[in-house]
Amino acid sequence: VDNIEKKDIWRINRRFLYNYYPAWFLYSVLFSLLALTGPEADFSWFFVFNVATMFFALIIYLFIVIPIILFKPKKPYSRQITMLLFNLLFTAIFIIIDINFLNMFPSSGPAINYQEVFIMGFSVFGIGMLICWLYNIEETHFIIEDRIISERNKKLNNEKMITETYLRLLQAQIEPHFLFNTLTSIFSLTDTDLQKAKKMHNNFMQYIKTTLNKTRSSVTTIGQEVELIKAYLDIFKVRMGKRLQYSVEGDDEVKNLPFPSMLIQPIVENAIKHGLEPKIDGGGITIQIKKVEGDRIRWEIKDTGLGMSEMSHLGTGLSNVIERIEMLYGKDGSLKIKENQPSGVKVILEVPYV
Amino acid sequence: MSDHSRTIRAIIAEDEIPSLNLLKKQLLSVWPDLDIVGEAENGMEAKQMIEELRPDCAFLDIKMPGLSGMEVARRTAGICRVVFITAYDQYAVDAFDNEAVDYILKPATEERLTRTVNRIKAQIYSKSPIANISETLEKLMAKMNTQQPVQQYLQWVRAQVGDSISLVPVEKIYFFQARDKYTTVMTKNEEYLIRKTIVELDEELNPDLFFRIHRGTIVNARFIDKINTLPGSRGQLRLKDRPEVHTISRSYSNRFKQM
Repeated sequence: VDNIEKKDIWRINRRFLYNYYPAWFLYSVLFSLLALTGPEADFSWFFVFNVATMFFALIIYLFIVIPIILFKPKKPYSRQITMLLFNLLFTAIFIIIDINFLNMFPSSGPAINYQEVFIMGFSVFGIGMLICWLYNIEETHFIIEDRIISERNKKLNNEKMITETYLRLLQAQIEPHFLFNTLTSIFSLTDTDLQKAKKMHNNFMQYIKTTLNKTRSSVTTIGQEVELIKAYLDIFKVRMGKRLQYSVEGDDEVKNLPFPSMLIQPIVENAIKHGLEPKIDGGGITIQIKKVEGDRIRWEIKDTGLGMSEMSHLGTGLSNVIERIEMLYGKDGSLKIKENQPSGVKVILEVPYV
Repeated sequence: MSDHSRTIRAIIAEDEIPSLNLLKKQLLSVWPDLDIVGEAENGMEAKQMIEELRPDCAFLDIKMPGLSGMEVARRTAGICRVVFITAYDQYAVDAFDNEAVDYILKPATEERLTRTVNRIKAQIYSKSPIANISETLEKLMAKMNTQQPVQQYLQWVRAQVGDSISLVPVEKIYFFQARDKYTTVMTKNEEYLIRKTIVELDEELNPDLFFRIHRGTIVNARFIDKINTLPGSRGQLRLKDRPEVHTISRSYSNRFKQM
């Protein structure tokens, strides 16, 4: 939070320096002083220079500043437009004063005090610029303050999200139903099929071990994530019997790529819980892992379960995955949920692997 | 008393084979002359078996594909006595205890099973009428549903993308905007077109999360960033991460006035 404030105060100062209002203000003070002290007779260079500067400024306003503001995707604040009009008005007034001066110069009417005209003109212009400047400083402060607050909120939000996600991860892996059901199955098998019981026990141990380790280190490899998923699915294969088949396909080259832990497991869990377990005939899960263009990795998790109805709730598992992908990859990660043909759900996840 | 010699017929309904085998084995060890006439692996099968075989009692797992054990019991109420089988679920256990419904917890201990079996035996031999538990079950199921609310609001939007159908969770949708015959669905970075109209969506979406702000616009309240409501003129609303400025029409602006 301190970093943000320091950075933004620097930004205020920078804006302060790049501002053109103080430049115009200084310009008018300087020329007022010159007019005040300069010889009364020699004003020709003075007005030529001034008219040139003002025309130059007017052209810049009309052809560069105004189009930029008008065509900016983000619409400007009404304040900024007011300021610009102010600015144009002052510039125009000055030009009119200058042109008057130009018209009167060759004539031989009553003597005009050019010194007074100039000092008046510069004062009006200078004060105008000073008002704009102060207005602008206030506005800048207002914008920066807004930005500091929103950035601070974003940061706090992000921290909160990370903590919440990990809490939910922790909750997910110690889901009591899963634990109790699995232990019950292992217990049941000890009487009837000891070999199967041992195998299931091993899978369960591996699942618990890896999930517990993974809250500590949040990155593993694709190979390890696949092992975790297989252990999980093998547990369900025992519990669901013929009602569950699965396959995992992936090139060997993807095995050792780093990957966030427990990112895919909730998708598989969702497929079992909402798709296959409640389906009378059960079904299958197919997982495919591929490297795709742009140093990206693509997971496709298909199930032939009941599928999602428009009213079925987005499980905590899946919404957790969506949040984590947003957090970890921002715009680079994508998770698409589709209807599988002829039944079930197809989840396609694509993330960069570097 | 002569009835004591009659074998008691039972069915077991349990979708997980290891659990089914274990329960069968345990039941037979505490009740050797029990005649297990059927084993069902899902709710539909169980219901059919009860109706066709008319056993004296049925052991029904609560969580089964097809029909839940409670639904089976409700639909076959009066045919036979029912014992529910449930995995770890404190809520269900409390509910059963309160309503004095017979249940066993997986994995069952031998004493617990013996106690349940003895009670069932006593009921059957004394020919006490089978209690009609359908009302109790309805009450229980309603209770459990409030525990895990049945969502009646729209949770997913189905959008045709190419030749597949994408499911977009409503939580990720920033706004819906009517456009000719279609409705535009906008997430953070993606746009979809759906056929559902704003009026239909307004009816189906959770009104606490989605605000109708205009005849043709519904926004996700979670993503509202700024609202300008100037007195006398129409309000404007901007969402986080999105450049659009939405107009709040006067007829829908009431809910923002209290904010």
